[in-house]
Amino acid sequence: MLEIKNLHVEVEGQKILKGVDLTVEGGQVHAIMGPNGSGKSTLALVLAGREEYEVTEGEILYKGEDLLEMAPEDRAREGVFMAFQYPVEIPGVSNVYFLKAALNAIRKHRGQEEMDAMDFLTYVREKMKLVKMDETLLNRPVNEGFSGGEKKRNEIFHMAVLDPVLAVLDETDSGLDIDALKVVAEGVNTLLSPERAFVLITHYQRLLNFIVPDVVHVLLDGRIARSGGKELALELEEKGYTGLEQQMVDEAAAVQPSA
Amino acid sequence: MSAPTTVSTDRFLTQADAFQLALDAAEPERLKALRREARLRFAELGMPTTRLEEWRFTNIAPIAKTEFTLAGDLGAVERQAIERYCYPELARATLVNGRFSPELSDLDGLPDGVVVTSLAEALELYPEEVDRYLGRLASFDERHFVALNTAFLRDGVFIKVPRGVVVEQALNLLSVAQPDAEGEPVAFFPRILIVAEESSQIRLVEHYVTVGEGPYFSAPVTEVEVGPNAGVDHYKLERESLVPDGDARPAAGS
Repeated sequence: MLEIKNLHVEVEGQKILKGVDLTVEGGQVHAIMGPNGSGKSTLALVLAGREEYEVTEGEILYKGEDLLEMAPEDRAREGVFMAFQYPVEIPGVSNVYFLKAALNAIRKHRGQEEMDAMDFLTYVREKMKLVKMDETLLNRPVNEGFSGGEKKRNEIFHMAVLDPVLAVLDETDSGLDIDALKVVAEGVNTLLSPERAFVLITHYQRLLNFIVPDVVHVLLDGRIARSGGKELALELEEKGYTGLEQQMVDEAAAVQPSA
Repeated sequence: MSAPTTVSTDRFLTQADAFQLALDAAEPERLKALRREARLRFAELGMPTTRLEEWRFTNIAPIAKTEFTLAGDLGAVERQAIERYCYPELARATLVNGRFSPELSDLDGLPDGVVVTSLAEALELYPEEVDRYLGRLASFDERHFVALNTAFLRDGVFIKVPRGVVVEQALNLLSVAQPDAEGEPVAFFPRILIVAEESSQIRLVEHYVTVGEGPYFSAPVTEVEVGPNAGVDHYKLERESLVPDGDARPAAGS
């Protein structure tokens, strides 16, 4: 579903991603872990279509098509969804209005009939139960006055409503206590399906106790330094990023003794 | 400064000196230095008056006019006396007049690795950790009662939640004031240090109650260090008698 080949990304002249390769199949959950500054959020934002990030080399294929050629709104119509680390507030635009407009844009693009207000409300109420969201939040402006945890739950709620094909969650777990984390994880888990893929970007391992990844990648200094199963996350938790880096340096030195 | 204020400040300073002298010479140097600096600063600051902006609406003159004696080892508090402040669903760390009481505490339900112990003991058992945070989060440059509390720093409670540990049970941090039975005004200075390491989580309530009657003055100081991705839900419940008490301003570091 998603193929990232040799991706190099720069922002304001600074190289951030230095050759990232990643393949994600439908039905999979990939976790991308890394220390601050490794380029995790950059990867998410490039997938979403943020302009400041310049792709200097490499390509991204989404459902076989060139993703980088697509405008962000077209990517969204094609089913790419991103949950932000710091969700923005949109004062004056109610949650329900925002979502109805977004969903209908996607439905129209797919050749489906747009939902009217009644059908939409029914549809949305089901989704609210999924993420244990209070109905009163429907009419509030998007994220306005929401606590950190509420914003993150709102992101998952949006995801549930918009029925994405590729969901990229950028540090969804940051700032959440364990109860909120479980709610978010539950929401994500209910959406797992063979037609959908998830890319979870996270710094801490705990989220992966609740959303079990198929593949874990460790992003270090702009490259995927290691990939493995879910045990890799636990190894990382134990050793820390520096520990893992050191281990890799040692391994490389052992294989190629310096002259 | 008006005469009554000077009297009480002087009394505290004299007591601070006596207190320092009576302590074990084997104490960590940094702790002794911290107390000395705090005592010096308190001597400079004195007791706050309503002429200071922060204290405009809080007149502590009644406290300033009273000569307090540092609370010594008073009689033990009966479990029965605090029964209504104990909740079986909560873990409990009890202080009596600022001193940690293991007999009145209930810490069995806490996960492995969680430390809840007397601050005095923690200074011996976990010297590096305590030293890393104690007196570094709560500054006494401008704060009268933080200076005063630090000048008498000796005991209280040290709470540490290790990396990644989520404490399910909330903690009732019960601070019991037990005034002198004869009615002599006593003062004490509970010190609370909480360290929540990376990705840990804890919920606690600082719960202030009184057993018995009589004038007393308490100036607790709480320092909280919250590690990355850690969560501390901190509440404060004041259920003391109507005697004016001191400044309790939690200082949170991150």
